[in-house]
Amino acid sequence: MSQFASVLSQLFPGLVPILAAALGGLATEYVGVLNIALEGLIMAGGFSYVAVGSAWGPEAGFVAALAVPAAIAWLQDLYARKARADAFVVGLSVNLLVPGLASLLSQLLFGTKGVVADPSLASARLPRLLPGLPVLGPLFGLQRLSDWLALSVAFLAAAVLAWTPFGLRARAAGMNPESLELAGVRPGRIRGQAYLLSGLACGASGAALAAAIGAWVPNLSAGRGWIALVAVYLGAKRLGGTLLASLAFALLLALANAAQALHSLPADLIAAAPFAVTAVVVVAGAFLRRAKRPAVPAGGGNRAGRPPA
Amino acid sequence: MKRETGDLEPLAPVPPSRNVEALRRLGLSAGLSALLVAVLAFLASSDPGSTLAGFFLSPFRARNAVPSMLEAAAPLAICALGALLAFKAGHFSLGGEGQLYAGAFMAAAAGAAVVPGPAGFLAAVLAGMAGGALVAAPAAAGKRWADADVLLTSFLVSQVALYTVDWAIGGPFRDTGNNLVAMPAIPAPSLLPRIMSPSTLTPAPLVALALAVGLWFFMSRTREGTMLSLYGRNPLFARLQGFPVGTLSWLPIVAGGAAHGLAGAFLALGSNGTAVRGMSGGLGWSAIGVTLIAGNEPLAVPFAALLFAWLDLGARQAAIISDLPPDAAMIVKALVIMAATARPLLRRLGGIMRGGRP
Repeated sequence: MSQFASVLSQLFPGLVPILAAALGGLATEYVGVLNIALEGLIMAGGFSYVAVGSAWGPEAGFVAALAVPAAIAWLQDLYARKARADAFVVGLSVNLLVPGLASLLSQLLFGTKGVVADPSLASARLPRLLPGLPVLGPLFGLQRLSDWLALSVAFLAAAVLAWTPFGLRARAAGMNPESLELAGVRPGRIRGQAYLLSGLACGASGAALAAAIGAWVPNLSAGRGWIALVAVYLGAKRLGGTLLASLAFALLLALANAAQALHSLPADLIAAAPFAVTAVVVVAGAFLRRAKRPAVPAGGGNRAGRPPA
Repeated sequence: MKRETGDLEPLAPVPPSRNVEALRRLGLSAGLSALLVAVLAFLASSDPGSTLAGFFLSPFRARNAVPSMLEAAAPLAICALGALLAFKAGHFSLGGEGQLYAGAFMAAAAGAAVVPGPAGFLAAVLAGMAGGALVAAPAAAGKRWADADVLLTSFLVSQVALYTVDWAIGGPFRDTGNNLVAMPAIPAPSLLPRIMSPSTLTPAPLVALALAVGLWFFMSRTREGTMLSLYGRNPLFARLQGFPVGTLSWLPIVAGGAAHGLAGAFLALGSNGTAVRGMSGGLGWSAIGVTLIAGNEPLAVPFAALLFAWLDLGARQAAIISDLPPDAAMIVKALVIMAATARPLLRRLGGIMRGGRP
């Protein structure tokens, strides 16, 4: 029972970074582009939080954690559009570029390429909501201010996609850019804004991760950007689906953490488990989807954001 | 003499041949790398002079440096050729890192278990290729039977392989007598022979070169290679033409995995002498960059691999004699990949080279 409670209490703190990043991935999927750079953008958020926060305090750090990845994502898209470079390849290079830059800046600012710990950057804790309830208490065990902030950014991103004209235009830009152009809206601009939103959400995810431990570690995101990408796919690139898939992955990670606490299995193998389960789920999901739709030829799709054959 | 074209567009210039384009892309990448290194040296180092010396002089001055650079480029080129084969078939496999690591692990295990000598060497190479293919297999099967996204599955399975091999090398397969977290050393007679003794050079670069030529021949001179790239461009067309789309949907992925496994085996059979924890070290990702800079041209891959090997070696040298962090190489690589995929940049450069209007 206490195991169960510990899994539940880890569920929501684990959900926040994945959900925020997944919504970031969804934003560019709305305009029909796969943003492979989620992982890099999370890292950019985490590093900006620590780098700026250690100089000007956690509030400034959080703002930087949103602004820097948003700027990177916007520039990434601008470059891909203006230079007619492949969006997918540009995203891959962002994934290489950000850890390299973070390491370089970390060396220059803090004199180390490794962990940069700053206890003052660990998030403030809020009083527990509903402490008395046996199940709901730990379920809503979201105590860190940073988690709540990141969650509100995620909610904001979801609201923008679901309820604003922008969300509608973004989908139009993804499905039929010509019609959008005829309506007097520039699809490129919408795509840029979607990337901006993507960077913002990933930045919130990175800030939550860094604020949870009050430190920058070189492998901060530890594959969460990829998990988020998978969540978008499994959620059929829809808002509700992405939310549910993110929740499932958060549960998976919480279970893996609980298993680690039992010390019965080596840590490396437990770390591998979520990826293995995810791979199985992706294949199974594709199999079920294939059974439902009319036969299509096996082969690589080649839409925007996909690698050139 | 001015021509009157009226409303008609002038004829589009004949596009340059693929070889010319590849050559131009390589030249651009090399030039840009040098420029970026110089910029980084002035921005991020307190002693730009020694940083520049580390990049531009050290890798060419020492007697062993150039052969060692060739040796470092070999696994990079082999991985890139494997990735290229999968890309050409339209499968964007991102699992190179795990495939390489699994290959190195299997090669080290087989090399230490089989009788030393040519048999041990052969066993290690075959086991390495099998290891890489094994990690690629789930993504290939997922594509073949469920049309699952190779991009996602290959990465996920590769992560599983990375963690699992980490565990295996650090746990049950660890050589406890060694300070490094590594497996027992492969006996020397089973290792790749050294060609120029003080340097680390082995025949691996020759193998990489032969594979590049072989892949070029396959892609551009055989029916199967043509089918493969047509399938990659348009799977529906390939199916309507009666190409073996079933096979094309999985075999290139597995073959690419085997190539990564071979590169891993060469790493284990080269100067390491066994599998060391964390030895893949981003090589799989760099290899994708090599493929992109080579513009998916097999014959350009060895040169692109040399460029990246130079960046790695130069950054390491610069880190030794100055205070530039070795990750500078990663930044330069990322920016060069970005630049190399920008099409207008190449076109404009070509125009300037021809002396005409861009």
